[in-house]
Amino acid sequence: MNKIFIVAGREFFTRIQSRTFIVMSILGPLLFGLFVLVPVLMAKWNNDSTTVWVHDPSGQLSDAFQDQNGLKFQVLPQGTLSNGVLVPADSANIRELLEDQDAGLLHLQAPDSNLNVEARYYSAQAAGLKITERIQSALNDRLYRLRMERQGLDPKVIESLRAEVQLQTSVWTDQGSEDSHTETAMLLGFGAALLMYMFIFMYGSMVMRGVIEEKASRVMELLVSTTKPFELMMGKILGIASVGLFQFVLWLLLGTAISTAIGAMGLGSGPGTASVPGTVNSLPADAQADWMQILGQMPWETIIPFFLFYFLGGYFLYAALFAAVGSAVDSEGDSQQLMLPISLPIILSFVASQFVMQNPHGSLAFWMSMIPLTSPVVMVVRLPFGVPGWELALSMFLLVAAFVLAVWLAGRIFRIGVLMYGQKVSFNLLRKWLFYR
Amino acid sequence: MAFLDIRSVSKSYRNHRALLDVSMQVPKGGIMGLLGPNGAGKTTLIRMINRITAPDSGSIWLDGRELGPEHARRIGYLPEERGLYKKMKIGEQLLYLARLRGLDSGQALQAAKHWMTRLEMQSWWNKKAEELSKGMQQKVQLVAALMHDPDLLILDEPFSGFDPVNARLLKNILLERRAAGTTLLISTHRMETVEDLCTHVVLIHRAGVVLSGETEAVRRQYSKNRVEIHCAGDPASPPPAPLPAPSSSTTTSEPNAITRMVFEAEPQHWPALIDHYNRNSRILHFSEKLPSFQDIFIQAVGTDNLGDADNSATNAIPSANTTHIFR
Repeated sequence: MNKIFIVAGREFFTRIQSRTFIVMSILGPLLFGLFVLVPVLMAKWNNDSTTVWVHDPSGQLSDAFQDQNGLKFQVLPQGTLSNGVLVPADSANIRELLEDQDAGLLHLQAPDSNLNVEARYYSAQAAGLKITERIQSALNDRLYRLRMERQGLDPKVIESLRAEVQLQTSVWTDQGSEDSHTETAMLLGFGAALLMYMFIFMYGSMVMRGVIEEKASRVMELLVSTTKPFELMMGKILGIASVGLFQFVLWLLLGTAISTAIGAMGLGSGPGTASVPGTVNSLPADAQADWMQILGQMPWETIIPFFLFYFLGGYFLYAALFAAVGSAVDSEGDSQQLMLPISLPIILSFVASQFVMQNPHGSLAFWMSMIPLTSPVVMVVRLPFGVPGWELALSMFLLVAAFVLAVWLAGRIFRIGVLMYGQKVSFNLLRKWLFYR
Repeated sequence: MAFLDIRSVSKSYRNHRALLDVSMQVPKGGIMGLLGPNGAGKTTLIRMINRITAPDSGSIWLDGRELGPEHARRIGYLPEERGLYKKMKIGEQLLYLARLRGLDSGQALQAAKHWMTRLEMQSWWNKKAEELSKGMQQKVQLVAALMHDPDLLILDEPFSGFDPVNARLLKNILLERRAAGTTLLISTHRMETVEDLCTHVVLIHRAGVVLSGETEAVRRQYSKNRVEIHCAGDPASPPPAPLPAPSSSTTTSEPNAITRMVFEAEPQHWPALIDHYNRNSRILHFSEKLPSFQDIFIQAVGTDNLGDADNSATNAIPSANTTHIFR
């Protein structure tokens, strides 16, 4: 038992001192911060202001345009169009107006008897979608009103006839109904699944590389002569899990600091949480407050402990399998073939989690949250939607059982695999090792 | 009673037999030389004593108790496949390995410092293994084997890779350990190691023990009653019958010529031989010529050669009495 901690201690302290760890711990939140920052900046840069000069001889349409999002409308005095060049009454030179790259001229004919309008936009460079769509919808809106007025309809009455239903969702329980928040649950589940997927892959494969390194450098012979394979493997898995958790904590701290800094710079819309900042920042301020409130209503007291259980359980199970692969091969190159059957279920469960979100209580969701190889990711996706107690219990039991089996299996392969240098590993050979007396 | 007692140990791998009914005893404080051709099963035996693999049948006893996990503390091991963590500092590796052997941090630190000083490698503490040469890494591993002051020290080819200065240092350390009561088991192909270090030898061939015993006794057992005589000048006359003629004779050039002769002679003929050459010439040197372990090894493993399962296909040399290798 003591040796497990000696092994885990070595894994932890040598790894957190490595250059890669230090670089990644700093770079991680920076990259994440960049993820948040870039869309914000992109939106900002896209808001370069454009001035649209509106020429509206009829005077009926020009007040339809309102300045918004960097589009400015200026009404020109009335004039005439000659030789394709508009000559306003006060002789201001239109050509000069358009020499400014960020300016355009909107020329509107007077509406005909059916309230149809011919409109044309002039600019030094072809107009973007943002401008044309805005102008079109403003014009359509204005003409719609004009036509209603001509028919003797009051636009206010028409507006009041418009219906807009918002579907509320609730969960029926014995205690009465509770509000449920499908979108939030989806987001939360997806975020958790992503986190787990990353953790399993990054640190699970670290376990594998560790085992391969010890085999390749032949340190293994000394280790096995002093320590039981089970202790070695358990120590390695625990040590590397602590490395991962330690790195996550570092990321969270640094990430919070960075997003606070971004908030202080006034680029983001506030010190959003590090876990889902993209979403928070893209929502308007009042929606953000709503979202926070909904987050507060999520059943955290059930989600968090189960999330932690599946997070660690999933990591342990896969880490044991990765260790088994590591002990079966001689080099990382050889591991590719055996990695496939392990990575497949993770990728599959990640892909399936999108369907699970759409139908969190269907049979796909049920079965995939029972099978231990997929349950960590899929069950975490289902958690915010609420999962019956017996399903949770069964799935957790199966996960633990699979973990024990995986350690046994890995230990078995480990014991024999470490001493067989230079033998090409095939599935057939693996099968023989498993059932070798 | 034997300190290390190996009782009828057998081990088979999938398609070859590594050891069959092998027994041997090493007395406390003895230095056992473990000899044998490549693939004879030496490494398998060593791995069993280190509990890396288990015997299919038979048992291994250390100091009167059957080998168990608690013996990790009492065994030091220098494996044939030398290995260290490439990126880890030497000092930390030594502490780690010593703690796995059962020392606490304080003891480990003290032992590491002691042995690093003894082997003149004080300045290596913060070096990474990948910065060291092969011989230097071997010294690190030697320290790892010695740190916990084991009662049984198992060394697989300890001298290969060392320069003469380090080889001598190692030899002194081993003799010192022996004087302190440590029992040693050394697997080697270098016969001079056996001749100057080992008190006992065992030779494994084709999964079994073909000879074993105290080093001197084994040499006598293989003695061919060969004597060497050096005398002044050139005693032209051969000894009269029934004394044998020299099986080889060389004479150096004048002046002060010396003739060196080798005889295969029964011990009862030795006085007559001496008499003969004392009369005809003057004897400068007379000695019994014991066989070297090189000779004993080759004789025991012999002309019927290395035709065991592992290397029969490549190493087989056809000769009159080796028909069995053509399987």
